[in-house]
Amino acid sequence: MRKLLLIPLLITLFISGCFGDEPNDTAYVAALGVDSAENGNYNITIQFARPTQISGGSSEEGGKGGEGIVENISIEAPDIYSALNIANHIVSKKFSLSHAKLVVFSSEMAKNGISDIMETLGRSDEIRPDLICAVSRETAREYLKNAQPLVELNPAKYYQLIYEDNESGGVPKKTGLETIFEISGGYRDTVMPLSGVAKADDESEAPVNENGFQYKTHNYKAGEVKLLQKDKSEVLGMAVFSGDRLVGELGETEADIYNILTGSFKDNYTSFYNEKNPQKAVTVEVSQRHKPVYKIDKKKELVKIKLYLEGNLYSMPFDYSTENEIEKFEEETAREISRKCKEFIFLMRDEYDADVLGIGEKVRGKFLNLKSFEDYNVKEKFKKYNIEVETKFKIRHSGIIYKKERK
Amino acid sequence: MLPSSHILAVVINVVFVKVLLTFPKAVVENSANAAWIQILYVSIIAFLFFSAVIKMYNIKKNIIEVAEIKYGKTAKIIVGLIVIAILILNLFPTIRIYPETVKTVLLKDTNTEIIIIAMAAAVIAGAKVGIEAIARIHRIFLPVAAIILVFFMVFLIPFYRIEYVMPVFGKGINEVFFKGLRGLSLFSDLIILNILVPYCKNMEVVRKCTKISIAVTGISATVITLIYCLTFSYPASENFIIPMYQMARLVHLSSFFSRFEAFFEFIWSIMILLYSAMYLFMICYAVQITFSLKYLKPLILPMGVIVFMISLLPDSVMDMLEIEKIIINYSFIPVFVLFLIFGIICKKMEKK
Repeated sequence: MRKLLLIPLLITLFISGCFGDEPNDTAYVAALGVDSAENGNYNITIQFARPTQISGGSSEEGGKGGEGIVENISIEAPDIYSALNIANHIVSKKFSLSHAKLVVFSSEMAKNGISDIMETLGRSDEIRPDLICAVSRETAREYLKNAQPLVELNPAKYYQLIYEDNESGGVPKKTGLETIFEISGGYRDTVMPLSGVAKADDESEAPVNENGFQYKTHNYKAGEVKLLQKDKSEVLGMAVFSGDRLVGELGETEADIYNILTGSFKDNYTSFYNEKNPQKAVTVEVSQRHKPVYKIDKKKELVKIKLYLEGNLYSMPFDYSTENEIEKFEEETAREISRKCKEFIFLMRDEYDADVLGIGEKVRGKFLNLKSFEDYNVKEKFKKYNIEVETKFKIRHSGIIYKKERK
Repeated sequence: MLPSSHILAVVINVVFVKVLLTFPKAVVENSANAAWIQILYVSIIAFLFFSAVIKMYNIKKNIIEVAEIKYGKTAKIIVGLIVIAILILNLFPTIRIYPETVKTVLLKDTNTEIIIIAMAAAVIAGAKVGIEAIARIHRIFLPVAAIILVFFMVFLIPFYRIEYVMPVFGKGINEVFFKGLRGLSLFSDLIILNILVPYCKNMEVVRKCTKISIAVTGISATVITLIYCLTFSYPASENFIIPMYQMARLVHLSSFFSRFEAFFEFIWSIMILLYSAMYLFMICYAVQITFSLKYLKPLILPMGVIVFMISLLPDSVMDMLEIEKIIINYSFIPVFVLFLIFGIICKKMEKK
């Protein structure tokens, strides 16, 4: 028995330790860009971290940070792993996707369908479920070339912050895994954040909202905000998919409406029209009290959506006192949000034929089994449905000032 | 003699290990998003069946021994061989799929054969230390696994979508309630409890363990399958080989806590190694009593080698999954039939 005890002792002495790839020998991919190429291939851009630039390597000064922390290489290949295979012969380190945070598709390529790439991402055990999928208005290569984190040392953190943790809205909130499953055979269509590259000296093409929601704000899409800095990459707006094909690019206002309708709208500064002083917008920090409630009446062919929002007053004209007419302002704002939501739903349904809100999934609850649900053909039937949106909006706080007009 | 708590821990683990591997996938393939209803349904049937059948057993003998008492040595050998075949069929998919999965998700650069050899060494060593030690470790480890699983379910709450479990009856009532009976194979490992009868204090312990183990594993399997259906929308949910692992990957609490699968892999590995060691011991024990052998321990190494060699017969994981599907669909039949037949025989023997 004592001899047997020697076996675990020997194992701990000789077999424990690091095997496989050392971190020093690994190149961690931060982002992947996918553009279409000839012969049905893809131009895969691999953006990988340069640890020596991040940590400073052997220098005593520490990391440089900024634009040097990532490097891009582009390779034409039939899929992502074939591209990585070739890249392994170009860069001395072995590529790993285990820290990849972003996959960006060019809009041109996404219009032709992305299910093949999504299948690869869904199958990979390296790719994390919190990967972000996005669409670039330029080529993905161009976008990644211009994505130069200025205030971050970690490129993965940069993408996480700019796509996911950005609470100022303007982009749809959705995990990469949800996107992958929706593209590859789910019962709903998907959306992705829209990214782009700023054209510094151009006049902005983005229209100014002339109605209540995000009043007087440009409805920017990525690439339309004028920038005077080195990092020209932008993330604003959303790309709409029907099946696996890109069918539309929408601005930040629609992305906010999408987030409201899916219940993922977070503290967002939103400007509203007000009747008393139409020249100036009232800015409110809006948040969702709880998730929207969808009631679907199959017989009456009616979808009723109830939204619960609340806000804190943040900015208003100097000579204007919203507090005196708070109820009216709340009603006006609620009406405006409802109108904008209905517009959005009709746009998705009638123009893009995309069920991005998952109405089909919600209708499933009205059936006893999948066959009767599939026979119902919800996408076609939904085109005849009436939509009602009711918004409950309440102002909760007025900041640290409370002004009331004296009568 | 083993304490009832130890026997209970063993039986719960041997039944529950299937849920950690491919069983939820098989059920989702059958019933789609109504998989949890199917598991609940088969658990109720299994509970009622075994509660009724176990009442008939009044002799503190397992079915191999009963066969000998009633019909002589030839019957004992036939029944013994059937039991050994059932045990091997239950065990061998696990000892192939587990190392293959470990290779895919953890040890990509290691050959599957090396992982299988390492696993075989652990399982054979485990079986060598004997049933008391295996049962005691089951008793110690099961509460730890249960706590981690509860955390696991709580961490997944943000991913639950109630619409994913709709329509309620998934692929239809026929699939859930008639074809779904095949899900009874979840409880085919209860044959272990019957073989363990000589290690139990009395038949009351066996009855109690049967009911509690079916209730606990039935509820746990239903809850796990329900959260799987709540987390992944059908048809995506029928594609994952190891559903529990896929769910563990989702856990992400800000930047501070992610990659929960590390915890999952820890309990997963220990539960499967305990399961395999227990099963190997039981196979050897069944061989010993079938052929009236004096010693058990010398059988462990050759039997372990044979079982692991059988597990290597399928060329690929895909082949193994297809074989496992057949086993899952039909393995409950011989187990339930044996329990019923020998229950009736025991009842008749008692009357005489």
